[in-house]
Amino acid sequence: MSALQEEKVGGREFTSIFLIAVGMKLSDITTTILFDSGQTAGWMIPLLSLGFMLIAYVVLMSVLKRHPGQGLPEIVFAIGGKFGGALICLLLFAAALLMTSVTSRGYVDIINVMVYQRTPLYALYLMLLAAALYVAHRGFAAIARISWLIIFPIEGAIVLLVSIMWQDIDWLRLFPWLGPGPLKIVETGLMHSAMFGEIILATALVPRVSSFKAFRIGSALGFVISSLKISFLMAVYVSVFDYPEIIHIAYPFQQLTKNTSFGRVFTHAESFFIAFWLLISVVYFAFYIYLLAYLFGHAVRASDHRKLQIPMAGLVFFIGLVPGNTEQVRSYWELLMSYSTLLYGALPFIIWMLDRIRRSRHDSPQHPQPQAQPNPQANA
Amino acid sequence: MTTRQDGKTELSAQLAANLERLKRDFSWPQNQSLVIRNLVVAALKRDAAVLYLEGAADIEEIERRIIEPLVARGPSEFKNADPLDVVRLEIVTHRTGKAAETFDEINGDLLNGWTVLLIEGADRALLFETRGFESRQVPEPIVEHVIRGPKEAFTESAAFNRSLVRKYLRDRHLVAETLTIGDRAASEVTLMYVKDLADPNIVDEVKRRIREVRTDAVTSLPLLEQYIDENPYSLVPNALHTERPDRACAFLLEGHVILLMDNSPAAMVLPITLWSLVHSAEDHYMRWAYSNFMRIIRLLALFVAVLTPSVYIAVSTFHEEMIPSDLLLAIAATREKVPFPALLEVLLMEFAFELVREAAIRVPTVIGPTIGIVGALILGQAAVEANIISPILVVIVAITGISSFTIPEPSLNVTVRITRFILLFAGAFMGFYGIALALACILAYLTTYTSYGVPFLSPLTPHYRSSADMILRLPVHKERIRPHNLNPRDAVRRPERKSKP
Repeated sequence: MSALQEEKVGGREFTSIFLIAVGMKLSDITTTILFDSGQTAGWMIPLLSLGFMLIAYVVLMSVLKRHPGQGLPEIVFAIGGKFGGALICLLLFAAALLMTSVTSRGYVDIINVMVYQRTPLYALYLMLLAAALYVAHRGFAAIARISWLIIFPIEGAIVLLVSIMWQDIDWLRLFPWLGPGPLKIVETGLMHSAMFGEIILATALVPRVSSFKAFRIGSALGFVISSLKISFLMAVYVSVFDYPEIIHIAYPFQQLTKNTSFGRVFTHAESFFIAFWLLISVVYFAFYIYLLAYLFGHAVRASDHRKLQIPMAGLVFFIGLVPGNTEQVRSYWELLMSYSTLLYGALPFIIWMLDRIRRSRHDSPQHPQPQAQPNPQANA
Repeated sequence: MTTRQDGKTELSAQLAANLERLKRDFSWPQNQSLVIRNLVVAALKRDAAVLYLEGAADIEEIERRIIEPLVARGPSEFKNADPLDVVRLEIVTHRTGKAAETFDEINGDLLNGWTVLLIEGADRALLFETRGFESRQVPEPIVEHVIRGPKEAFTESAAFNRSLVRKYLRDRHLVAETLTIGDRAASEVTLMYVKDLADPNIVDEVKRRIREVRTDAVTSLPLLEQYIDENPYSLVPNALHTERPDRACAFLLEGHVILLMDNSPAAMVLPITLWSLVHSAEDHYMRWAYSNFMRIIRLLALFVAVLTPSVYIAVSTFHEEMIPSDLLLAIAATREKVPFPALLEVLLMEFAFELVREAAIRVPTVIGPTIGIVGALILGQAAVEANIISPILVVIVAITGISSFTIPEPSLNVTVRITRFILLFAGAFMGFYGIALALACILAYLTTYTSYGVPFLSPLTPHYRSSADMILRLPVHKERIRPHNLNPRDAVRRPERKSKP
């Protein structure tokens, strides 16, 4: 593979990746689970999680800003030392791996339940991961360029979907608008902040983006727009399906597409949306496989992290097959959310503190400022 | 050499200095188009030089009317004192002749096919009109038809083709470099590019690859294309062949490089993007709305050609609910009598269609029409009546076939036809799931595929600044900048227009 395919990606491409990686959550089990505890106020939870995660994000960005050209793994190694750096990297990797496994399993469940009931689950899973693996193998540039290519059709399709369903929306169904009560909503929002964990994980890819400014704008923009989108779509789900029916619907997005029709002739347009959704899922998981291999490669200081993509896809596959059914997938997801919220929430502050301590020590006259060593892994 | 107040540079009295300046202007010796013939004017006992542009000037006329009298005429009594007047009025027998004082005038006239005579000691040059662009017996394009626009095509002579290019693009920065390949039978490859537009990296890369070809003989451009291809196994083409000089010039002006060779009635354009393959020569000759209409039609045709059979299979096998009920019943009724599964039906029909197409190319022209009749009768009529295929399938295959004919570039055409089969199997295997996964892989390949370092889908993705001449195009006055994915040395085509004319 030529060096060109690993060249840096531009701001637009990176923003589109973010819009896809975060925005995809409007179509998977995330929404289902949020409705369980959020009820009619489920749509507020993504906004609250956004608020909590933004704090961690801002803290982390302030550290990243002081280490130009370095991603999360490089910084972690720089301030945590060899051992500490590897430990934090592995922790992040583990959280991302479990998250990817459970999420991808959720997707395969959806495909299995909604369209291909007679195909074995593992076969669908293998096909999805094989396609994602190929896309990831073509490099971060491939993921970024496809994202930029399809981002406008995606947003267009969502607008189309909502406009088709517009006549079925009854906004009054959003009431009682506080659902289970303000305390419960805030608590759920806090506990599920990890659903936006990408915002922390993606900082590993700073060296792959053309400039820090592009990274900052891209991630912030993608983050905010996506959570607004998720929140809006969740409001639409409730307004269309009504509470309490909504908590009995396993996959609201797919259910919504099932209700679509183009005029009187084409009464079933869901396959159109599902096909589109599948295409995006491949890009989504390609991004995760790339990220996993990238994180693990840095943790163990591998020379070529792209060779790790096949084992990563294999790991995701086998871990993803562990839950016996969709119910278990959900409970694993809930469990994972709470633990990784802790990790994603606390890590930026820990890094920020360590960075402060390290700098204050270096700033003192006994310790002259060492020259920043360019990390050989930075562009691997 | 002095520069006048109006910015024009005057000639000096030294022949060597004047020659040096002209060589620099025309990028000699890389640019082999500028021909310099040194001689001694016997009558005056002075050195002189005759200059003209190959392809632009009529060589025979120069020899007979200018060089021959200059060399042959011995010393004798002349009526005029000024050497320039002597040459113009008493020696040269050419029908024209004028004196020029500035290089700007000389450059312009050289490009228009005039011949320049520089004489030692004279601070002016003599210009003779010897225009000789090849314009007779130029064939019409056979593959790239247009309704509007020039109807000239390249021929098998590289010199002739160079002349055609120069006729369309009279720019002194248009460089024609000649490289030699082949160990046993050496043949010449002419590399043409606009020196102050084309990215030197691309030019060097093309030259490096041509120099690296080690083989006994390369006889034509299509062979050369395969020798210098970076991905010989790829389904996607890496170069574009055009038989139209106007199109070749349009590419040169964007910063592309073209290659010409003897025995090849086409110019090879490097590097290429998807957009250069799907655009037609005519797109810019029509008004904005008309050409965009044609482009939308062609874009839809591209999708239809790639996706229709696979979507038909996927819908009829996995997602029947998508078809309107009445149509579904109609299809089911006609399919009732057909014993084969839908996939086999489609494969049979596609195979038959590819047969007709291949046969139509191979068969001698005289028998040509027979194929149409046999193909149409057997495939359209008899196969349905014999219950081998269902009528809906004839419609599907026919519309796919017609759509694939709208793709102007032959290489891309084959790419599309092969991709169609890949998607067909994916759709037959897993319905829309298979198609979506295969499409994702195809997109991943296309977005990272490069032609001489230029990403195949750029400037759309990855995004580069450009005049957005991709799926649609802007009105001509808004196409201000060249596409930046080619890294042109001069990015601006024309200054911004403040107000409407």
